[in-house]
Amino acid sequence: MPGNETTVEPLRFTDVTAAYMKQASPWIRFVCILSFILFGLGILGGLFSLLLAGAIETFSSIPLPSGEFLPSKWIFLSMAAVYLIVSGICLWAAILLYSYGSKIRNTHSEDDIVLAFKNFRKFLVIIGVSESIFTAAFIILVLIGFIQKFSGAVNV
Amino acid sequence: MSDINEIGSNQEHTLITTAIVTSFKSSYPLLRFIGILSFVCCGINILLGIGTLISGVYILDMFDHGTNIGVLGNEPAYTPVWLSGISSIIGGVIYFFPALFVYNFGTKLRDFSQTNSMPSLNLAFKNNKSLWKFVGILCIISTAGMILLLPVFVVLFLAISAIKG
Repeated sequence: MPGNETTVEPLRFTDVTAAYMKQASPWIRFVCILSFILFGLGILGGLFSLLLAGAIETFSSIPLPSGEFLPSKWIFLSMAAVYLIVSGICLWAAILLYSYGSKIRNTHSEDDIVLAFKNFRKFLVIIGVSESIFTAAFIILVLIGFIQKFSGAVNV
Repeated sequence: MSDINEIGSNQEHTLITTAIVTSFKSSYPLLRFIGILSFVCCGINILLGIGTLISGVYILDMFDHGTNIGVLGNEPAYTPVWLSGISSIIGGVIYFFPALFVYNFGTKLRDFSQTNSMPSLNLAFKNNKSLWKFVGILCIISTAGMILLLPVFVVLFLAISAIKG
């Protein structure tokens, strides 16, 4: 009816919400910086494993004083691959999270907020997939442990 | 900084446009999924710990017949079962809090997307802040612990090697 129309005010981020977003930003960036350090250590670990694999290939035919031989180089190559792949994923996730942490503090810009959440969503996909794999592996390990310990196949 | 409960001028912050709400809608299902998965992990850890303490057996100890690390020889890996059980329970309890913050963040974003309720949005970002603050503090404690305890473990390892040698 005329005269009874109500206008709906568009929503804006309030000072309260903006304050929470600004308070989260330093913590997010701090966690990212630690992740970057972890990435660096992972790369060092991967390179070290590659060096060990190379060294083992050189000395694998020479027996140790105990008569045994060094383990296969493929163990160290596998470790190197795991270190490098996991570090690469960690770096990618950290970059996405850093972008989120940097942009959500700017509540004056719609584009920054949209981009922040776009990167945050990609970060959540990485975390979700990683956590699903980890949880499935953990459950499988627990089940294997149950079977091993309580089937009598292994002495406790 | 002004009191967080004061509502000052709202003119300077951006409008919550359709694009922003769409970005919230694309994030909250993943947040809730990760939260639920994390609760499952917490539960498994805590049950594992309780089961370990009751049964006296740590089922994730796969090296019943000992390790073959050169220094330790072919001895059973010495890990007190009670320590493994308590570590699992503590790990589960610690992991519960970020799981709760993630889940609440996703749920409140969903509520805001459906009802345009500003208190829900406030609570969502409050949980977001709490999550990253918790994770940050946990990282600081873990890093400090590793730096301080690493020399202790190295000394213990060398001492055990010397005793067995």
